[in-house]
Amino acid sequence: MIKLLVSQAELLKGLNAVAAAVPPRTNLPALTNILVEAGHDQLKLAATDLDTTITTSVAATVTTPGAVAIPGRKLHEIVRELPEADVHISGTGNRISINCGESSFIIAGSARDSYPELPSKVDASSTTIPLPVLSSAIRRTSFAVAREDYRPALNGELWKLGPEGLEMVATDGHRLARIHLEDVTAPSFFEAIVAPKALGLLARMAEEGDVSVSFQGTQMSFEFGTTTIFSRTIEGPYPPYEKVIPHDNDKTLTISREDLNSALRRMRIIANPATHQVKLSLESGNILVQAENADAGEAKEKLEGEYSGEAVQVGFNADFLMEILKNMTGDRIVMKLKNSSSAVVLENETPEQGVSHLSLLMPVRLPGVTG
Amino acid sequence: MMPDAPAGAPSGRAILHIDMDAYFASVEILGRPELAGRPVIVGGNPAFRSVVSSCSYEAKALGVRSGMPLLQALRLAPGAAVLEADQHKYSSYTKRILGVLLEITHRIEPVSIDEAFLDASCLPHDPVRLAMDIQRRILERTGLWASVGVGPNKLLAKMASKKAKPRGIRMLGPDDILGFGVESIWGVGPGTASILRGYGIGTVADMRRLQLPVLRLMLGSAGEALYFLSRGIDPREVRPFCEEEAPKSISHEHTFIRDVTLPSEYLPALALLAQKVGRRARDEGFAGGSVSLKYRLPDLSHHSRTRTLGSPTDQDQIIFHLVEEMAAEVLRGPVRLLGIALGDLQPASCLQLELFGGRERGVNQAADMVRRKYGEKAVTCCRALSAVRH
Repeated sequence: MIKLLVSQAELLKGLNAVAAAVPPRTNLPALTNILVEAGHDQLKLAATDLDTTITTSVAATVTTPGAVAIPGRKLHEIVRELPEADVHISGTGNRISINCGESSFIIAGSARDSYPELPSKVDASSTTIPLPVLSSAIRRTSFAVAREDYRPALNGELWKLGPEGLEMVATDGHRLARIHLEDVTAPSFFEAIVAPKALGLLARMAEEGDVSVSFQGTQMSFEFGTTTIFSRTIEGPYPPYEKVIPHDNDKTLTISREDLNSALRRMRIIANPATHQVKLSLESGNILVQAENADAGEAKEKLEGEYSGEAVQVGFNADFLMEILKNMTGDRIVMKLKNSSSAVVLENETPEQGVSHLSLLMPVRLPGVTG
Repeated sequence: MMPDAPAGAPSGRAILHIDMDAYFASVEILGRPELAGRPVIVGGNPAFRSVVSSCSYEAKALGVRSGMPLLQALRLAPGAAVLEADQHKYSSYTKRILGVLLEITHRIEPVSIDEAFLDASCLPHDPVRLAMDIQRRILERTGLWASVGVGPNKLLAKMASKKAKPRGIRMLGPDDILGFGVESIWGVGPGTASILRGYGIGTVADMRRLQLPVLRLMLGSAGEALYFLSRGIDPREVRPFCEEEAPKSISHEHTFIRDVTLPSEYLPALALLAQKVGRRARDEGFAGGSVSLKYRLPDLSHHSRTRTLGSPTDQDQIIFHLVEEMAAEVLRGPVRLLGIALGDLQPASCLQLELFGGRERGVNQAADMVRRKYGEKAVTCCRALSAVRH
């Protein structure tokens, strides 16, 4: 038995927060529910796909405390369409009434014990980060996370937290993005591979305020306001990424990020649709980007920029390069190269205060070019 | 006007002729290293009247020549190992060698199973350095030696590769061939050579002294061609070989003896199919931008599901991982047939390079080498084992 009164706006806010954890497809029907728990003057909402769990609470007037599992998507849809007024929820597991103004709904719920046990808050090593800082750092790196790679570790993002800051690394084996936040520290060292779903949720958060990040065993939690995201971490090991970041790239191209990006967009029209291959021909005073495809034709564009080093030709997947450029922040960027087959390092020309951001991109082999 | 610019000069053409050294014999020796250094003859069964198709340099040193009756060859080289020709194996190596050349340019013209022309005129490379690079790449990729001739046209490139043999690189310009015998010119067979020698013409220099009408009188229209060829003039283009044969996808299928339902029943078969598809892609020099799982249900209906890759692959592990996931999503009951297709094929020469050294690539290359030598079933991944046994 449960009986409570909650404002439509509050309830919708809560449901918006947890709905992302309801799995779109699942073999376990119980997971399509949202757990609704009425306690002392608050309504707790929770959803889980067993890997990611989101809990939140909203203010409510509780007449009869209790808990019930309600079909998540239906509940969310109903509340979204209700007028901005008080919502009365009451009933037992198999018969839940939702009344608001002149509207009334009866839907079938399930008993609390049909819903999986939820992770509880961990009291473990943690740090606090302004949510916008964390969201932005995730956005600037997670584009390089692999999608459904056969190496599970690459499907997540490595976070290394310690006294020297928070380092976040993502790679799909072809490109890599790393960000280091000096100001986010913890007294002891901890690292985990964060699952893509948690990354996606945090990257999209628009709220202000701080998020408290805790690590314990195979679980992480992110707590902000009344909402907590629990996420199971991905088992490592993470590939030895530090070894592949080159330090001896002796050729440097400094160029406007927007100029390069828009030229790539144009070249991409002609480039091979499967490889998106473009060629950068670099020599002092002459920066050329080209695309060639036997079926579509040829395209080339001369760019303004400063290049120092021996002449080099290097091929890239234009999509990969554009995605890196999109996630950089500076107006001008620096590309450091060694040859046509080694990783290229991309950084902002002007360093940011307390933040170091770097991307790597492996070239696409160019026919007839060695080295 | 004489094309007197040296080969590779920016204004002239730069043609390479890549000719494999003792091709069939060398391929056979790869599989049987104990034969290295011995006279090896590839031909057929000496009991039949077969002829030598190829022989090692050790056999050549004893006087054995291609086209010679096998019995005669064995009289010259009594201790020689005689092996039957395996055209399928040689074709597979030829594909890989052409793959190496295609990485450089599409302007290649295979002349036979063991030689090809490459037009480097539009490439920025120094032709001799390119020749060295090609020789090295073929050796690395196949373990076989090629000799490469460089010249301003096909004739001189081919004459150069002959001079370069074995394991050499040679560049010839029109004036470098003056001392060559007339029979070294394309189209001069023993008959023509003997006619020319009857007139006291033994070398290219001798031939150049003849006027066009004289040569025409001596040899008819062939004489006209020789007039130009002897001057190192050969305008024939390198005709890029027709790529219509390039496959659109590489696929393999497996029909089960009885319908299967459980992943433990069908995953070994998928692993084996992934291995076959990957192996063929690598052999033929392709990487695929999409992977499809094809399946046929007990009611004989056909279905398929396709995933597009961020960058094309030719690796078994990636192909298997994708079809394993698709199978988990779509297979809800018994299936009769499963297949894998690697689509959106691209030349592997445009492959996206790997940050982490591509350990799997190394494993697959090593496994390919073992399979080439000891057969397809010699090495396989564990998850395909039960499928291999059946």
